[in-house]
Amino acid sequence: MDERVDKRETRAIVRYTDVCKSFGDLQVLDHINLAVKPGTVHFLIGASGVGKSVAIKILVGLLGADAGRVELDGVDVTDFDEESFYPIRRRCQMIFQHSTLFDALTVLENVAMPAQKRFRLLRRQAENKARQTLKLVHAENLCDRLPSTLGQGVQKRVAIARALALDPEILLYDEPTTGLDPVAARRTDRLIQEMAHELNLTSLVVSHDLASVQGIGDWVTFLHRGKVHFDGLPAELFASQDETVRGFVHGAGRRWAPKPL
Amino acid sequence: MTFVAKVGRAAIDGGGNARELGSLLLKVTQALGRLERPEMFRQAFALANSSIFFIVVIMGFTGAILVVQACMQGQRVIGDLGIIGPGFLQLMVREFGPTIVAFMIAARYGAGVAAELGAMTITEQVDALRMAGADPVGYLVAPRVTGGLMGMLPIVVLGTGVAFLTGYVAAHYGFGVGWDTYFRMNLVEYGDVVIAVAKSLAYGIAIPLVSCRAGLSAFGGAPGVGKATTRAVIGSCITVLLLDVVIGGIGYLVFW
Repeated sequence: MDERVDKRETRAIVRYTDVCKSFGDLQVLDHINLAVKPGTVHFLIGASGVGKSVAIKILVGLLGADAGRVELDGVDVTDFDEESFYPIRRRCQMIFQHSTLFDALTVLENVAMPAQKRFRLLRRQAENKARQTLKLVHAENLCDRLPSTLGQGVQKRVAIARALALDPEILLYDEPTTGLDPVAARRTDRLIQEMAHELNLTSLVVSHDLASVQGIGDWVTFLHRGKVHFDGLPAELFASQDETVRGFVHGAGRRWAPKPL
Repeated sequence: MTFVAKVGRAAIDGGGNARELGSLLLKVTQALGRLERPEMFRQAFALANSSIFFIVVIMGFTGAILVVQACMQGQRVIGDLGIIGPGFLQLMVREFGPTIVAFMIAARYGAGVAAELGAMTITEQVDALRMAGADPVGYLVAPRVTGGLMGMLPIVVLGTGVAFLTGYVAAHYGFGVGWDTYFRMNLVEYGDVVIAVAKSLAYGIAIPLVSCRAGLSAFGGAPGVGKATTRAVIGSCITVLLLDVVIGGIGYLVFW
């Protein structure tokens, strides 16, 4: 068994029960069941368009579920309205696929602005908090830069800092390593792991990147055709004899996927 | 689908759109207390000041062309051009000034707003705002609607004035109409001015509102932004025409 903690027996901080979501005639999520344990780095993997991002957006109310239940710490958030999601978004922050930094603001302002709004801080207080958070992601020397002058990997780090500035308990990452070169991707992985361990954050990571799953994942859920096809430890995923899982794993990353047991 | 079914579908869609616009307007009014004022002034500037050249050119030509046609018909039918100036001014103040300027603002400003917000929606910046605890309606829509409300009336006054002036140039040099004959305001009544102001303010709210809604509902990558922009311009123009009919009708009942 992997030396990472098997938290199968721990209660879930996030739980999806029979969640369905369609866009017109296209059913993206078909009775998804998923449990995320506190303090884990939980990967949600699957082919493009399978509904991974949709699933995490449902948790924070950026999209609504058609059926089923989504619970955060035992509280059913499925039917919450926009205002009811404010406290949920305080606890769960999301790092989007594109860094979504505001182009007209400097790095410091990008990180300070949400904290200023959320905690009703004075500008100076928010900027101090932003500086501390930027230090966590090793970007404290970039305060005065505009996002357009930064590389993609650095933009992701700043986006992570912006999310951390809101003191979340859960971080949702939407394809954090997509578009990054391998060095920047592994650096981002390390950052996700550091944040999870140092700040005791739960991380739900949507990704195609099997190197990330193998490197930092505590748990992995594989979505296929709108359903959960595999849910277990990364080592179990890579050792799986299931044809669909093997097709995804080997098709995407034969070089570092271990041979089946 | 039969013709009747298509008409029914269009009516249902139209009703749904009107309800959503009403709901968005309600949210905007609720967000006025926490309005980003610098952004509101920036939007008023973008709508009015940045459109000055465009409006002046289009309204200048429109005024001249309309007056030339009116003079030609006037000469042919009644042989007296004395009514051209006052009649044209009344027509511009009550009807054409606000409405033609609104069409142009829809094309220039409305399209820009829809493209900007559409791109923000597609690239998840709007979702990022929601995650940051900022209400997109208060942060993005309210400043544009209030900015539109502020900027529309001055640009309508400018456009109407320019059209009237270029009309005079055309009437004077083309048909020999004198200054004293043209510049008479005896046909413009209090009710005409009230209707013009009401239309300008209504258009100033409607165009940003329709365009913001189009942008915020964009989906499907770059083509989605294009479709949102098209929806914004067409929706704004149709809304302007509907408001024109409604406000004109109410004005007719009140003032005549």
